[in-house]
Amino acid sequence: MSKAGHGAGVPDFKHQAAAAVANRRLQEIFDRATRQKDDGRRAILPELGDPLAVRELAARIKDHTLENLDRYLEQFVGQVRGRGGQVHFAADGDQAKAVIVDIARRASAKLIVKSKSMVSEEIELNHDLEAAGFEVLETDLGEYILQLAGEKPSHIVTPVAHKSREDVGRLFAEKLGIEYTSDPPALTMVARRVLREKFRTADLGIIGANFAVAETGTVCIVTNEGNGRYCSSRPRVLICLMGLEKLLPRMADLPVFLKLLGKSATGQRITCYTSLITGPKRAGDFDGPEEFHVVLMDNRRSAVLGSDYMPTLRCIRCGACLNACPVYRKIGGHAYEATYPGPIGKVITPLLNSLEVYEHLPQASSLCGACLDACPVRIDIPTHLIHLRQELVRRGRSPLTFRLGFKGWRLGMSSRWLYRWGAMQARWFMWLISRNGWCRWMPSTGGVWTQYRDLPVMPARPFRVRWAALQKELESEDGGDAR
Amino acid sequence: MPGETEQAFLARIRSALAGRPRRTELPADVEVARVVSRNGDLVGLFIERATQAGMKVHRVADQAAMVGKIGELAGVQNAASALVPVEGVPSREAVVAELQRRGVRLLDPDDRDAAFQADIGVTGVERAVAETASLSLVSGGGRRRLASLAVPCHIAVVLASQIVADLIDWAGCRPSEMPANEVLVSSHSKTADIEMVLVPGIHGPGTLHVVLVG
Ligand code: SF4
Repeated sequence: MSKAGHGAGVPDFKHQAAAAVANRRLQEIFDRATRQKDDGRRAILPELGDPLAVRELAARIKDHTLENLDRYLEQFVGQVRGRGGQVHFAADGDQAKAVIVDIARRASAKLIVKSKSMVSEEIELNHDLEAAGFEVLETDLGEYILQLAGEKPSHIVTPVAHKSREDVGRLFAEKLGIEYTSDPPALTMVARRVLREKFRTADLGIIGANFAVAETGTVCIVTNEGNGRYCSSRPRVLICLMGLEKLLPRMADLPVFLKLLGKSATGQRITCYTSLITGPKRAGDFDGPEEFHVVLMDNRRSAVLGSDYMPTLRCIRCGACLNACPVYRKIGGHAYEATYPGPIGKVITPLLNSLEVYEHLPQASSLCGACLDACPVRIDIPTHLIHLRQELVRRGRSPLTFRLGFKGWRLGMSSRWLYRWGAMQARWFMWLISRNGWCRWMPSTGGVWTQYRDLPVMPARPFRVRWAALQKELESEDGGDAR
Repeated sequence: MPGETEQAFLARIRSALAGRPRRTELPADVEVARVVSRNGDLVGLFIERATQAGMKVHRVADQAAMVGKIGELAGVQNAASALVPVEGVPSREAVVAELQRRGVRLLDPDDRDAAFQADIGVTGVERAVAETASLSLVSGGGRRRLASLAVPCHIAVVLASQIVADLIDWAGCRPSEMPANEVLVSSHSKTADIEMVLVPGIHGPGTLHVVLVG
């Protein structure tokens, strides 16, 4: 996920975010898209009886797999080969792309159909395939729209969450030469017609993996549209590109995740189609791919593996944390300028790329914890964000005034007298710069904060004083009752 | 060959994990995730949830009635042509005869494009799951992967005895050898990518009939 792929060289997070907030149509669409999924998730999760226990089980299974990942990878690789599949290894995105281009060339492929895969977005696979002369088609409706528009996904599950029906209508009219319509069913059927012919004639399919089962060498993908089934069933050659963290030990573990994924992602009891692919077609089979390749990609995941951020590798990319996040809901997916937006993106984008380039991401959170609440595998995103912030301070990536401010804060919090004195000073200061009881401006680093937020002036009678008074009042009331 | 060697790849992972405590015992309490107990009314639950998922469920008493029902559905769908794979469909001969009697053209299952031309595709299932109203279809032999996908209308025959309670049971009661392809079909094809408006039949069938026998 190179920075260059997202346009500007330097992240322009604040301006992008401000523009998104000012865009009323975007606000409306995005709010509906995220809320609907978030509400759906809340409504259906109780079906699991004790959802928290199931989520904790899922987290334990993932942790166990990650702690023993070398063994499970070996087992998985052996099983894929045992079923006639080929396994390739890629240290980074460039290697993965080179491997895939090479397979496509050897297979003399012309037309490639792709099922939605965030890993392929991460490494910008299409770009290299097109440069190598292949025709590549995204077949998930959302991804197809993005491909026509030359845009990036704004959500990891519903990638065109930012586009209105009018946007899509204009795009189809321009790129496909159809008459303009903004009717979603009509637009969907146009895409169906175009892509159906591509499915029929494609000679190579590329899929990602939602899960991979070590015990059987099986790759599992889920789609609602059925495009994943086409890609893995029709073309002569099938490639599965997957991050190394997708493994599960046994088939018996898969139900736990299938139960959680659909519910967390879209509020569905289960996604419409769950495909389990175990090797190429067998002797005597009429259909199915003749060649099956698995490309296992690292791309800095192994650096996360041994670190304190290891639990982030549990992520099943359900998008629940995005839908639940008050920041993501407001600023949309594109402001982050990262393949993985939203809460989980704020953690893994710096980890899989560079903390320096993406230093704005760990800061863009109120640490409210909605993401942790939503996450089906219980990734403690707020704590990881705090650790990344600590890392930034340690590397000297925060302004001097910011660091001095916190030094002063620490000093102030260490003694009740200093605290009282400091609070008094702060109140006077706030009163000086405020209007109608609100501070809308502050000097220096404080100004960065008030650029997007207002702060009420501290009350004249601090909580400490009011609390003491209240306690006295309550005590005398209690005494009254006793009599 | 581009890429790196298996040894180099795994070595990086081993060194990342080196020195970390490992819990080697697998979490064994998968049953925590069970939603449906094995001894409930599985057929009733399956029908309820399949209907919620948008499937049209038709319960019939026996295979003879099933054959008639499939013919009737072909009529309802105005089907001019059908794909009935040679393997996996209960009472296939009778189904084929019934469709022909009604003037439905039977496409050659060995034509690679038959599924793209057929108005309906008829398949059996390997198993069905009450919890999620999922139909498990497997590949292999005379079955056709696209008979349940490229057709606008899929008619699946489910025997009541094939219904298991929970996804946990589905994962547990499989032969040791996985088929090259297995799919859990839990609804018709749909998308909500454009402004969350639900549209059926984007790539796969927009209509899914389940003829439930027994
Ligand atoms: S972090 Fe959790 S909630 Fe967010 S996408 Fe990953 S699994 Fe889903």
